[in-house]
Amino acid sequence: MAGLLSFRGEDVGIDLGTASVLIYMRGKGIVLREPSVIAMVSDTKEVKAVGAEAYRMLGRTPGNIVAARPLKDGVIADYTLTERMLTLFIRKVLPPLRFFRPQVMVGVPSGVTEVERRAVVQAIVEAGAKRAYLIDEPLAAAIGAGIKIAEPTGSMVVDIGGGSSDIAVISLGGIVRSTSLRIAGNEFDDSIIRFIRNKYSLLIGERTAEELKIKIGAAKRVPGEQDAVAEVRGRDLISGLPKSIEVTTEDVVEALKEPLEKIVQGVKSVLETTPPELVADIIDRGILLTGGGALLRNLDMLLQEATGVPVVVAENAVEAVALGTGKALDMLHVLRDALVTSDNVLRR
Amino acid sequence: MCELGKRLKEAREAKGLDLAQAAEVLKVRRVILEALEDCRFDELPEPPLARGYLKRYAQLLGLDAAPLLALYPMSTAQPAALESASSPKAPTAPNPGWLWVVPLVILLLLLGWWGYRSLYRPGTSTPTPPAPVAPSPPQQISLRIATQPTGARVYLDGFLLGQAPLEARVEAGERTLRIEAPGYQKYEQVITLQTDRSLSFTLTPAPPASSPSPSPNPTTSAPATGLTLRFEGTSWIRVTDGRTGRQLYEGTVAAGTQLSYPLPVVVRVGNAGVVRAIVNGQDRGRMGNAGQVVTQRFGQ
Repeated sequence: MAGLLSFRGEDVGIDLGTASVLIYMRGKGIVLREPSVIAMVSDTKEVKAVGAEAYRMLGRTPGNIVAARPLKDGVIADYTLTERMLTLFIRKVLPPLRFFRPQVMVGVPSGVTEVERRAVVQAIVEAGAKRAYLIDEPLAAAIGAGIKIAEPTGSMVVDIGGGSSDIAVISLGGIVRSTSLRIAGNEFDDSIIRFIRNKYSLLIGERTAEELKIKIGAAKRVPGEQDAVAEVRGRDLISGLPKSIEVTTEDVVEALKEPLEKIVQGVKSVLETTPPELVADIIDRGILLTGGGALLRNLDMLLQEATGVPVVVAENAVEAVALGTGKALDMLHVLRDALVTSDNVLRR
Repeated sequence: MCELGKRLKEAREAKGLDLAQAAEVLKVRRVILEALEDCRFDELPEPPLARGYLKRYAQLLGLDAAPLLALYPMSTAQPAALESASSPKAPTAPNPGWLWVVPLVILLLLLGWWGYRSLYRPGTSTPTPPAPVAPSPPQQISLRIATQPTGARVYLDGFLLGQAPLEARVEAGERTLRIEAPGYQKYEQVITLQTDRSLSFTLTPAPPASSPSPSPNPTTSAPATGLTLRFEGTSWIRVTDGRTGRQLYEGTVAAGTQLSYPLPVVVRVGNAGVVRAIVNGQDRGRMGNAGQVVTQRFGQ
């Protein structure tokens, strides 16, 4: 009977990430986790595939099919494609016929512009939501990881996603200081590609670079840890022929040095501008790392050494934002001031 | 003092570290480590952070973090935190957007709902993909173990729980239980823990001491044919089939492991000084020097 009486429709939380989309539904948990890729026939605009299926087509399509990532650097780069992708994803998790359209909470990077916010809200409403709420990703990540955000205690969250890294100090249910860098997982991959090209004159693909990062990558070498070796295949830039070489952890650490340095600078700059009372809280409680980028080996050690503050990787780092968007729908009364809703965005 | 704190303290003392040194290495305040060792969980930050510290502390002490995390209370004050935040304010303001729907819904409830259900229930098998469901937070259950004779050592997932009879809070799920007592046969079984369990075991006395320990000794058993690799330290390794070039294994292998493959194979190791190769039962010695990367072919 309780099920029949829920007039609110099904509430959905979405982590609309550059690399992947996660959908959380109340009572069901994470119901969808797919790469944010859409593949379509270029002249008829007919959608061929979305998600995991489309991801396999990336970089391997014939002339008439385009597989693309509609989001770039954490924000919507192609509005129409994003809307179609989201509609398909939402359709996958919600029954086709329903009386009440869902309320949808979407996590967005803290630094997005008004125009970008509007694009997200519009895409969600077009995709069939009754009302769309936008929440800053670091806030959602903190809620998802289980930090008490509503208390007057400072917590620092560093969320490293695919397209953007968000660094924020949170207190009393809102963001006190934050910065959003467009340096995250994808930039790590690009750095690896550049490094391999310069050092070995070998051109490798994005997916290969990502695999390298996941399999043998590290933010820093720790004495006593074994160097791992991986074989990569690509095109030799000198002969133009396929070639395979071996890459070690040391190479990847070297390649990731520059983007990681920027993230460390970002964390430092946020700490520098944080009010002293909150800094004291952060020293006591530490920094929480979330997002797929947090899984990079020894990243916590690197940040800890640079800042002198303990750093902890959230146990559910990858799902934290999606879980947080879902939980945030139950905490609307606490978060009201920190949210953007479709009602006031679309009215303007 | 609780089990968790005791293990941490023992491991730290065994390592010869004092709290201040450990705190310095971990960049964590000393009071946090103290609270962990004294099990004053309410003085620690909320679980996601405190569990992070516990994990790192365990790593520093060379302990396996997973069983310790299982001992850490998962939900000390977490739900309370959200509620305390929400209590002072009124529940969500009524949403005028759906108020008009109420009479309609009642009507539908009376007339159309059951028809709708019977129509759509069987047809709900829309081609939704098998959705990955988020792992629910591990549930804590209480496990009580008694043995005959008493005093046997009880291990869960290879980690010493204590001496029977005992009672412990453990994480639910599929766990491996092992009970050992000198002079008795080892008892080992995979058990599924869902609700609180109370178990008692009667151990069978071991056969007379004439037979050596029944557990196969890894240093003596190597298959007579094929290649056996014995790891005396940790090393990355890749094994490929010598004929087809197909990759058989790649990964970092811990000390004490033994891998066997049929010949011919090509082996590449990252730390040749810790890998001993045994071909057709014949020990060929270590593959190289420590830290050396070596590729070697075994068999024609």
